[in-house]
Order: sequence, then structure tokens, then C-alpha cells
Amino acid sequence: MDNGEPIGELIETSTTELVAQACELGMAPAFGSLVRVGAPNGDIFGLVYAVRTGGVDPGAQAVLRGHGGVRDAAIYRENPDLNAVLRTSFSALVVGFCDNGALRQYLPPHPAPLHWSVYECPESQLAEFTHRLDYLRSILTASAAPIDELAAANLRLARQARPFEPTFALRAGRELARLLADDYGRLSSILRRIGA
Amino acid sequence: VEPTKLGLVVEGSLVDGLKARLQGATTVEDLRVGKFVKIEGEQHDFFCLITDVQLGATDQRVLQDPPGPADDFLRSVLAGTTTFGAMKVQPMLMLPKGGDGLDGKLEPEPPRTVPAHFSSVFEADEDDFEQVFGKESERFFAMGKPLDMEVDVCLDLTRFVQRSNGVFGKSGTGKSFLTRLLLCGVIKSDIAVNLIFDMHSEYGHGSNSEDGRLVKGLQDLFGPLKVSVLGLDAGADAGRNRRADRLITIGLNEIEVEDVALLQDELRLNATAVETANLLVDAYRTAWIQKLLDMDSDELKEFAERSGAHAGALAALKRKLGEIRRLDFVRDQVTGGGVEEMIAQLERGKHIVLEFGQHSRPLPYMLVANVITRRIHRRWSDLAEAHRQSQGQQPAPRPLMITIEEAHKFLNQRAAAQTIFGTIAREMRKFQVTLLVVDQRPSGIDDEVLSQIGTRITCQLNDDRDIEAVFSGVSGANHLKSVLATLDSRQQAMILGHASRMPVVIRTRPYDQAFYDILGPWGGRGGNGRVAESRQVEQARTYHEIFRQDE
Repeated sequence: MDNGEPIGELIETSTTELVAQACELGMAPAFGSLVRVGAPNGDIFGLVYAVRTGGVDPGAQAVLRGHGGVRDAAIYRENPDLNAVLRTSFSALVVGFCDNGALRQYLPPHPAPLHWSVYECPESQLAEFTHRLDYLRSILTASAAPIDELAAANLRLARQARPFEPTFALRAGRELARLLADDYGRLSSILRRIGA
Repeated sequence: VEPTKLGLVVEGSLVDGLKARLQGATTVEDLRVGKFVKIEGEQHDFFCLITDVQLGATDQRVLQDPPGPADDFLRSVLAGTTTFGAMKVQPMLMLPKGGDGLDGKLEPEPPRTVPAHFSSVFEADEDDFEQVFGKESERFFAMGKPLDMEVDVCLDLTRFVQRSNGVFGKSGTGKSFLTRLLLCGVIKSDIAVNLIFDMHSEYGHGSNSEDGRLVKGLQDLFGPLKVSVLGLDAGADAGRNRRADRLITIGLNEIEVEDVALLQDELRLNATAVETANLLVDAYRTAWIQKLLDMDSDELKEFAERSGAHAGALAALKRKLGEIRRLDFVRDQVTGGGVEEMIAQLERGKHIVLEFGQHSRPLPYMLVANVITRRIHRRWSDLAEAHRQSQGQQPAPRPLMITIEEAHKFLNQRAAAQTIFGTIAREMRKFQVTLLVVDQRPSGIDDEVLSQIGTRITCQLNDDRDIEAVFSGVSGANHLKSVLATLDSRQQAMILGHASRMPVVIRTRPYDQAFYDILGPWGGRGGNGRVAESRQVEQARTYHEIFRQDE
């Protein structure tokens, strides 16, 4: 499967998480969106849960560059070197993989290889992936991410990608209700974030 | 058409009933208490009644912080997951899978187990109704339709006439209507001969129903050859009953102590009256009332001394029995009086409606009904005895169904022990005589009699004691009370007992031209069932021939 140009490259990898650096400064996929790594044994899918931009050198701290009337975008125009010293990276939660062409919504047997390209999934792929909602459990049991926000953001995107299923939000909501049967407070807060 | 799946069995027991969680698009508002559902188990199908509809929640916190009125999305997500609808269902029958019901070898039987976890609950369909209640035919009579479906619910008439039956309901809920319907069914199928003590003259001829519509009577529907309407002979001066085919008189000589004992309340007799009356019978046999009424004060005193009766009690009895003599259809001495003729007609299979016309007070009604029924009882026991002794050479007496209204007056605890109706209700099934008791106060009927009632057809009842009474002797009654309590006050009834495999709530069938048509040539056009039709046509023809000759 190829979706044209990659959006990033893996710089850290594990069974449960992918960390990638965006190919271009500031061009990370949206929070909650689905990304794909074309691993040798089959694609691995992740949901973007954190995006950050900082110095290339881990110890370097960005300093104030604005002055006079130079603010915001003008700062970048005045300091073309910023593109070289800054980087944007993003983390994604592994939620599924392709196993001989079949989509599995659980963790892959092997992590994605380091330095492999990361692609942003188009809506069609997101629509296909959200045909089943078993991956919601992986989100809700994750520890690192702002998981409630992540689930809500992802479901908002998925709903847009599935205009042919007007009851998608209801189906997803019910799945969440089952998963959060013992935590009504969390359930209702996620549902309010999805909206009707 | 796929049957509608309503839910899944989640818990329960045979004794307490099952709980099923609603599924899919079914909401609690789709369900009605009393609805007939089917549960498909692994080896059996279970036919059940919904006895309760419930709301549940997996998390109590939802109930403490319910979604606001504008929060439609949250509410719709919660529906069916965190909050859910459930129903209590009571298994009433089970049928091994692959059974053919009525036509095959496998018949539905009372449930002795429950379906496994997560068995599916379906809305019962037409086939299920037929399997349980039968299909309208000579033997099965459609009483109406379930509340939410267009399927016939039938009564098994063969079983119906095997026991005494009851039609209960408070006043104005359609008891007479139901009774008329039942009588039509029994007469049409010719399964038993009917004697109807018609207190308010509403069964024999057309009368106005409570909504002002003119409804046909039994004679209008079945013709004068099949149904005879009798009246009480009120003498020449009183308004004669012109609608009656023949008139009946009752003689004082035909009245026994038992008849008087039944009237204890109506005549305000005191406790010693029966003993006093027995002394009179010892002395004068059948002429006891006449003699007593003819005594002057000296004779009274003399009789009291001679027989050991209390003079005061004797005088009081005389005073009170005078009321019987004042009834205008009562004569001093009657032999025959139309009653013998009437019994002979019943023996030949002619149905009789005895209209009380202007005598619709309890006193004449109870007196006449008791006097006549006592004679019938004797005749039928003789016939049954002859049949038994001849080892089948003599024909068995025809099954006879006697309809009485205000039954609690005949069958209350005191009366049931001493009147003929109590005897019939308790044991006359053996002699092929049964009662159809029509009453608005079932709690007034003796428990022992109630427990012998085979089929109970109940309209709306409000009084707890009455509801209790209707279910006396019925197992699993608690589940059904909730169903009975929800009946509409018009044209709805619950059928329960011997003639119906499981309790069911029906909208009673309309008593209209379409129904008249089904009943045969007298009711309208054409009949139902070839045998019955040809028989009816034949009778109709004879009737026309007779009348043409008369003209």
C-alpha cells in the first residue's frame, strides 16, 4: 500500500508506540489521526496522540526571537536557519496491523523497524479501519496518552470519514459504553466531546 | 416473514419467571404486559406471557446524574447499553422442537424447565397462536384477537363444556357481550345444549347494547327451531311477554325448602325458618306453602303445638312466604307448568332462553332458577344413571350448560352448601351439567365452587378481593394479576383455564354482521363448516315450510 510521500520517519519504536520525526518542520499529522508504517511483515497502524516541536539537539532550548514588529510567521522568514535547528516529532499508539492482508486490531508480533517511513492514512483508509471498533479498547487501556481526548478526536475524524454510516457515532458510543460500563463519568465526558 | 426478535433471556427461574433484556431496536414502549412471546430454547420452544416491563441500568451513577433533556446523543448511546429495558416473562407452555402442535403427536405441555441463558425471545407469530390456541373450526371458537396482533385466539369448546365456567368483570365491562359470544360459539358447534336464565332479557332477542347499538339475540341468529325463548306467565292482566314462544308458571307445590333457604337474604328469613319449613313439609309434603299461607291464627297456633314449631317463627314464615305467592307467575297448584316441556326440549337439544322480563329482581330470578335447575338436576342424574346401568345401551344425556347471572347470590358460601347450583358446580360435571356463571363480584362466590371453575373469562376488575378470587386455585397467579389489572374497561378480557392452553388477553371479537354471517343462514349468508351448514339449512327449510303453512 502506498500513499505517496511519507509524513515522517520512525526515530523510536516499540511494540506499543511509534515515535516519528516529521519530514518537514510543523507538518505533523493531526491529533487523533491514523498513521501507517509499511513494515516488512505488513502495515502497522497507529493513532497520533502527541505532537511536539523543539530543538534538534535534545539539550538545546529555544530562545526568544521576536522583536519590534517581527512576530509569529515573520520570525521564521527572518531566521531561515530555524528549519535546520528545530524539528517536529509525533508519537502514535499502535492500534493494529495487517496480517497477510487481514486487518487486526491488536498489537503486532514485532514492532515497526526504526527509520521506516510513516504515512498519513487518507480518509478512505480510516473508514476501512473503523469498520470495526475493537481498537477502542487499546486506546482506553493505554497509559501514556491523554486517552479520553484521543478516543474522542479519533472518533470525530472517523465520523467524517464515514459519511455513508450516519449511525457511526451511535455505534461507537455504544462500544464505548460497553467498555466503560463501570465508569459513567468518563463515558459521558468522552461522548460529550464527540457530540451528536 | 422473519419473526421479530425482542430480546435475550438473561436470568430467572421456573418459579419466578424469566428476565429478558431487550435487544436491538426494541424499546420498552413496544411491549405490553400480557403479550404472548416465544422463546426458542435449544430443544424446546417456550410460549410465555410478558408479566412485567422493567427499566434497568448497569451503573447506578447514570441514575444519579442522568443526561439532560438536550443531551439526545448521550441518551441514545446509553439506551441499550448502560440503561436498558427488560421484561419479565412467565413460561406457560413448552413444545419440543419440530413438534406439529395440534395435528402432530407432540402437544404443548406445561413447562418443567426453562430455556438456557441467552435464548432469543421472539414476538409470537400467527403459527404460534394456532399451535397454542387452535384454528377456528367446529371445535375451536375464535373469541377475539390479541391486543397487538391480527390473529384469532380460540377457545377449545370441547374442553370448555367439560367444566363449569365463569365470566367475571365489573358492571359495564361487557360481561353480557362476552356471554352472548360464548353462547353463540357453543350453540353453533352444537357441543352442548344451553339453558339461560336471562335476568335482563338480553340474550333471546335483539336488544340495545350499552353503546346504543342494536345487537341480535340468540333466536334471531339461530332461528326458533334451535333456540326457544320462554317467559314467565304473569297472568292476563299484567303486561304479557309477547316476545316469548311459551310461558312458564311455577306452582307453590313445586317449591321446596331448599328454594326458600336460598332466598334467606331476599325474604329476610331468620335462622329458624328452615327448621320451621321442614316441619311443615313433614306434615303437608308438597302442599306445605299453600297450607301455611291458608292457615289463620288459630290454625297456626294449633300446628305449632302439634308439631313443636315456634308459633312466632311460624307466623313470620307465613308473612314472608306471602311474598312468593304475590309473584304473578306463581300459582297455588301447578302440574307441568311448562317446566316439564322445557326439560324435554333441552333433552332433545333445543337451547332455551328463559327471559325474566319485568321480574328482573333477585327474588323471582333465584326462585325460578333454583326450582327449574333442581328438576333438571334430577332428570339429568336419572339419565346418567340409566346410561351407566345399561352399560351404554341408553344414550348418555346431552351435555347441558346452564347460564346464571348474579351468580354470587346462588353460590356464596352459605348458599353454595345448600343449593342445587353449589352441587352442580361441585360435581355435576359427572352428569354432563355445567354452569356458566356470570358475575361482577367473584369474591362473593364460595371458594370451593371457584376452585372448580374450569375456564375464567375476566373483564376488568378493580377490587383486590375480586381479583384474588378470580385467580384462586390458579398456579402462578401472582404474575397474572399485573396483567389483569391493566385490562381496558371495554372489550378486553383475559381468558384463563381449562379451555385455553395458556392465559391470554384478547380484544373481544366484534358482534356484528360479519359475525352473524359466520353463524349460518339465520345470522346472515352462508355458514362455516359443511356439516353444521347443511344441518342448519335443513332446519331453516323446515321452519319456512311450517310458517308458510301457517299463513
